[in-house]
Amino acid sequence: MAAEEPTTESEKIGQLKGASQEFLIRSQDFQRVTLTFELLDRLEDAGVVSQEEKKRIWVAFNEAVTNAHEHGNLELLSTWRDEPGENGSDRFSEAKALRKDLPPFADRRIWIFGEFDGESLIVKIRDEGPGFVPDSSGGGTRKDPAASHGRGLRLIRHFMDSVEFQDGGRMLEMRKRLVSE
Amino acid sequence: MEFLTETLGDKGVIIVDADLDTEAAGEALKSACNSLRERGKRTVVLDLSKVQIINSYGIGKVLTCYKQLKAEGGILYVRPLEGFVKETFELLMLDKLIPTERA
Repeated sequence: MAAEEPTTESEKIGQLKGASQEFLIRSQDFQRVTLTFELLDRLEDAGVVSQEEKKRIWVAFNEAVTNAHEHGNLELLSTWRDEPGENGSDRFSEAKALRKDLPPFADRRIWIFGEFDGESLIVKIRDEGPGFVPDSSGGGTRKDPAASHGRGLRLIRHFMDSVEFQDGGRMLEMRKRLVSE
Repeated sequence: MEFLTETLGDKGVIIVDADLDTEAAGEALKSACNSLRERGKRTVVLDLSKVQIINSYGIGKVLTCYKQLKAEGGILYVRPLEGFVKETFELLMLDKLIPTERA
């Protein structure tokens, strides 16, 4: 006999409690991979997260994974976006194109883990770069909206309830409460 | 990917009909902005009404267009924003830089 479909909100939440997702992306594959977050889709399908809230979480997730790739594994500095490169583009874009196929950058991986504990979505993202000291001020955009960097971290901090860097900046853990008390 | 551009007198309009969160969309915006500038348009209006999601990469491309126009004595406008895009513009204070086009 088929199991009955959950009907109430608490039944849907209960069914998803403990659901998790884990995957790895290698730097050299990053451009070819279409980033997805299946757990977030499941939470939306179950009505645990609204379409609008999903957009916010998705952007925070996307920004965090991109930061792990660009600033963590490829060791690119945001300020390079304002510096001319050697081939007509900016230094950031040129170094990014080069390093994605160059050891040791190309062999580094991003580990991504997401879990719904019945109340909150917990996302952990770890890179294999040398680490960094995160800017707690919220980025350069707080003073200058036209600044060329700082927006990604600002969006992450705004859209998630808590954001914590661990292991010298190599790991980011962020949480979003989805079920009201 | 390519975004439609329209010209209305001395004004250019870019109709963005995809989310601005990928390299392809960012490059399409850059191309559309450059195309209008090359046609001598110094007033450009961004129509983001079909955009559901914008991230820091997409915002960066919007700002590149803004800065290029400003350096040439021009101006970038947006058509009235809604939802997530409006929230993101306000959060990053882009609404202080890029004015909304009045009908």
